[in-house]
Formats: sequence, C-alpha cells, structure tokens
Amino acid sequence: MNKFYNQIEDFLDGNLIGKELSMFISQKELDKELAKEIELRFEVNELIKDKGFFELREKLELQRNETYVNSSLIKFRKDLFKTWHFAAASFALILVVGGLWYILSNKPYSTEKLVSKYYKLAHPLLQVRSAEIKTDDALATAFKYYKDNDFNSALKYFNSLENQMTAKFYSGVCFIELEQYNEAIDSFTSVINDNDNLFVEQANWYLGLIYLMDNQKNKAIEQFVKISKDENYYTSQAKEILKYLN
Amino acid sequence: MQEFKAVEILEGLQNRDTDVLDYIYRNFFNQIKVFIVQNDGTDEDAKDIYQDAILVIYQKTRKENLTLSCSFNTYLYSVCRLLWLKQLEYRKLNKTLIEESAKFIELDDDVAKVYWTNERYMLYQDHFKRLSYSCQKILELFLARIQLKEIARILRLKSDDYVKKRKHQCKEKLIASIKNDPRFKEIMKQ
Repeated sequence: MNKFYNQIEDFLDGNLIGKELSMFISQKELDKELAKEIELRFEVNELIKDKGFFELREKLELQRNETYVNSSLIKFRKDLFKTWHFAAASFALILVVGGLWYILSNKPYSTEKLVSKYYKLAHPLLQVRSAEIKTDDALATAFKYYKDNDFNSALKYFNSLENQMTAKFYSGVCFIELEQYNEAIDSFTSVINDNDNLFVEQANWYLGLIYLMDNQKNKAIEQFVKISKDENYYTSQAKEILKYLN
Repeated sequence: MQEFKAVEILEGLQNRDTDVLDYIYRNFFNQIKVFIVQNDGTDEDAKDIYQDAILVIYQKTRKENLTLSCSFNTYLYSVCRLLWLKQLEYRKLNKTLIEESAKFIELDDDVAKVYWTNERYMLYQDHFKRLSYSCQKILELFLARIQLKEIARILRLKSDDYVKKRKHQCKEKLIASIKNDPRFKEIMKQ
C-alpha cells in the first residue's frame, strides 16, 4: 500500500495542505482504486453523521414488526374460521378470548410492556482514563462486573468513585437492575444536576423509565414531556411513550 | 384519523414523524402489496420494497429538496414500482406484462442510484452498530468536529493524541469489518 492510502483519512479530515494536497489530488485522478477507497471512507463518514437515516430505519423496522404481530393475530383468527367445525365447537371460547384480546389491544400499553419495549441496559464504557491509576483500576473492575451482570459487585466499585459522573451514572443503572429505584433516582438526579458530562440525556431517559417501573405514572409523563421538548436521541421515543401513556 | 398533504408528508418524513409514518403505511401500503404480489412477489417482498422506497424518498427530500408534481400516493407507488422492476430484473424474472394496481409516473434512474446508496448506508450502519460504545462515540464526536480536547474530556481519554489514535483504530476497524461482509462486493458492483 503506498503512502497515498495512508493519507486518505488526513485528506478527508481536511488535514492535507499545500504540496501534499495537490499531489494527493493528482494521484486520486490517476489511481481508480485510491479514488474508490476515498469514496468508501467518505460515505462511511456521511453515514455516521446522518442520525436521521439511523432513526428512520429503526422506526420503519419497528413499524414492520408491529404490523407483523397484528397481521399474525388476524391471520390466526381467519384460519380458525376457515375450519368451521372447529370454529363452531370453539365459538364460546373464541368469544371470550377474542373479547379479551379486543379489550386488551384497545387498552393503552401497560407500563410493564412499555418498560420492556424501551428499557435497554446501558453499554459499558470500554475506555476510561483518569489522572489516577487507582481510579482507573476501580472503574475497570466495576465494568468487568457490570459486563458479567454482577450488579452488586459492580456497585461496590462504582460507589467508591463517588465524585465521578461516569461511575454515578452506571451506579444508577445497577440500582435499576437491582430494583432499588429510589437509589437509582438519586444517582441519575446527581448526573442531571451536574449537567457537565456525557450522560445527562441518558440519565433523563432512565429517570422516566424508572418512574414507569415504579408505577409513578404522573412523574413519568412529566419526565417524558421534558425529554420530548429537547432535541436529542431520546426525543422521538419519549413522544411515542407519551402517546401510549395519554 | 389525521390527514396530511403531500408537502406535510415530505416534511414529516424529514422529521421522522411517527404519525406521518403510520399515516403513509395505513393509507398506501396495501396498494403496493397488491402490485408486488400480482407481479411475482410475496408479502415480505412488499414490506422490503416499501421500506426501501420510504428511505429513498427521505434521502431525495433531504439531499435534493424534492417537490412533487403528482400526489404522494402516486409518487410512492412509482418508486416502489421502479424498485420492484429492478428487483425482478436482478432475479432474472423479466415480465413482459406488468399488472398495475394504481396510477404511476415514469421516474429516472436517479431513484435507483439513491436506492443503492441507501443499501451501502445500511451495510455501513450494521457494522457501525457492532462497534463498541466508545468507538461509536469517538467517531460521532470527531465527525461532528468537536475539538479533540473536548472529546478527551467527554470520553475520559488521556490526551488529544490518544483521541486521534483511538479514532484511527476505530475507523480502521469499521472499514475492515465492512469489507469483510459478503454483501460488500455485491453492493459495490452496482
């Protein structure tokens, strides 16, 4: 691989200048493979920047899955009626089941259903660096337990790093997993009040979900309204939850 | 149910508005399904084509500020129709007689181009999502032109140089993973 291939990322990042840049551009004109590689990497960058495409694709998948579930139920009912003997014999049963299904499907989502649909365990951070080696060790150990779903042990290490917002955030997630909701609320509230860290949006989101888990519907609505007014990754999901809750 | 005008639908697509997406699906999907099933496809093909067409229209609106000279219904049907004809061609199922289920307009090859760009995007996206959380974040922040110092602070990395090094490692990992996907060669041929 020649030196031009090593310069592709610098070129895309705008770090090539002067003579180096003009040489690179000339080479790009001559070398089709180089041009293809540049195009690939450029497109990948465009994709990463395009949050809308990510979001739309996810929503279309969700729509597809939801209609699949609905159409399966309809098909199931149609098949039952095709076999009229069975339909006649089971008429009463179908009435009861159908009625129940109708009532349930027309009810708003239960909070359990909403939580299972929207709650996901936060990814562990794989790279954590801080000034003190001891701090690094504690975080690394905490994440090791976290990845193994040993939330009690992870908590011990996260809690030893009280002032670190990373640790505070993940301790909140551990508390959720251990169903200690009040403690989880305290952790996420600290993260939100700090307001100078990477986890504020996620903490707000989890806070809403905790209220749902803890059957505090009004507080959940209040929290999701707050998120829905922001412009971030969780905005559209918060709006969807609000539709179900209202 | 709420009704939307064509311009509102395009705007709603731009904003990935769930109400608009539901509206499109409820009102227009069935006609597309009829067309595809009548022309050698299955329900699943219809769902794939519908999804691809919505993504094509989204990209065309976003990048070219698409305006419609026909109804949204006709445009969506025409995009689906074109994508399905291409798919039949690809499957070597050339039909001499196409059974229509609605009015359509002739579209240029640009729709197919956008479709293939989207296919590549989906491939890249699948591999991006497989990266670790920190890799995804570092690439996102880097491409959002956040200062290296700020990235280091946010991700608790030790220095600017380390951010650069990690960004390089993550990007190379992503590119290698994309190139190793069996779909890569097929998609790149188009």
